[in-house]
Amino acid sequence: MADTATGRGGGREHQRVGADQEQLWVLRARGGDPEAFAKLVELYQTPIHNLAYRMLGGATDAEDATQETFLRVYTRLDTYDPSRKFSSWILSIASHYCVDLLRRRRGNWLSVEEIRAWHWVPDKSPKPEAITIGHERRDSIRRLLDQLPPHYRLVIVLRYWYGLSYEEMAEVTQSTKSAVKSRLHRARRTMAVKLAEAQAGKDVEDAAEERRVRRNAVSGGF
Amino acid sequence: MQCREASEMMSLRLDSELHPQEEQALLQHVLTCDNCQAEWEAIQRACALFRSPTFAPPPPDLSSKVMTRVRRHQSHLATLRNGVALLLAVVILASLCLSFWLVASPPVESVLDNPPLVSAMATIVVGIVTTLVTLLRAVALVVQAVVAAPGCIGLLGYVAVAGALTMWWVRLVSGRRVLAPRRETL
Repeated sequence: MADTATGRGGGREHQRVGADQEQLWVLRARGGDPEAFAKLVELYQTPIHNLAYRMLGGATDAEDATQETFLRVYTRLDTYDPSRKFSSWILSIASHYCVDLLRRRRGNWLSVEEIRAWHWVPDKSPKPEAITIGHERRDSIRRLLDQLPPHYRLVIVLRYWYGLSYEEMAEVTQSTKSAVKSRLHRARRTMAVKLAEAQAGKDVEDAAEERRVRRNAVSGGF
Repeated sequence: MQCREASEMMSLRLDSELHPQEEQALLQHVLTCDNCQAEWEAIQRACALFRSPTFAPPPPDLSSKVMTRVRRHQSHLATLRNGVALLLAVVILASLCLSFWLVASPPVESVLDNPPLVSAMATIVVGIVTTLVTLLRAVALVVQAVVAAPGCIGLLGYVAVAGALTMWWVRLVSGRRVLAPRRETL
């Protein structure tokens, strides 16, 4: 069960751990067994740390957020409803913590109106298939995520890193399916605008660089 | 199809949440509308970055740090709980002693009405802890009410209840462990 919720890389441990085993650990941890809780920490540290890292952007912040999330999970174990997925519940706690933290920081995010008023121009940069890989791609992802308001950032992370469905995202974010759809749509649009802006800026820089090189070449000819 | 509608459908298309007819309608609109075509390409370009996301590995000592914090939190809680339990046990014992003293020194009303004695008692207790005084006064009122009841049956009942409560608290204080014992198998 946890496989789908924690998805991809974070789900590796889950393939070896059944849902029954996980529920058993939850029950034992509830009864005050620290060893059982330690097993849950082992199982979920990668997905929780990754979520915090994607949301907050810094390694130290991510580590603090992971510790705080697990502490909250421990103190709220009594409120966990076993009929719900444990993975959704724990992701929900981590998400709330990160969103609250980001809201307090008050980042310089684009408003919905700004995004709506954007005028599209055909982009001459490489097609999506030819997107670069490695550091450049990682930096682009980081920059795009940093420019998204907390709730938009959350749905993007849950969708792409955890592969959650709309229903699962609604459960984790404690909102409705339509709210999730709308946030995903706006988040993607915002990212597209930001990427286009960055590309336009890069084009201007490239043109300036080209002019400078040409001027040097001309003056060098004399 | 309106551009706004098409824009909303683009996100659904990326999540494969469109019916084939809707997909066809979106495709046709995008092909005929330059603005939507540019938007669709831009959205695809942005989302292509997230195609195969990687999971950042957590620091190797993260789980042990988490468990250290959890244990520290638990021991703080236990200390607090034990402190409260101990305080209540002391209050109950003190009230028991007080009730016996009140019964043993007739007349009861005159003892409680004797301002120097009561104020002396209050001063001593206030010196220890203010909250304890409040509780003690409340208990004294209860004792007064019980003692005022006809016969000693009320008083005996009170002593039995207070004794049982004390036993319960003492057991709670001594019996509750900070952490459950280690289990060999999970």
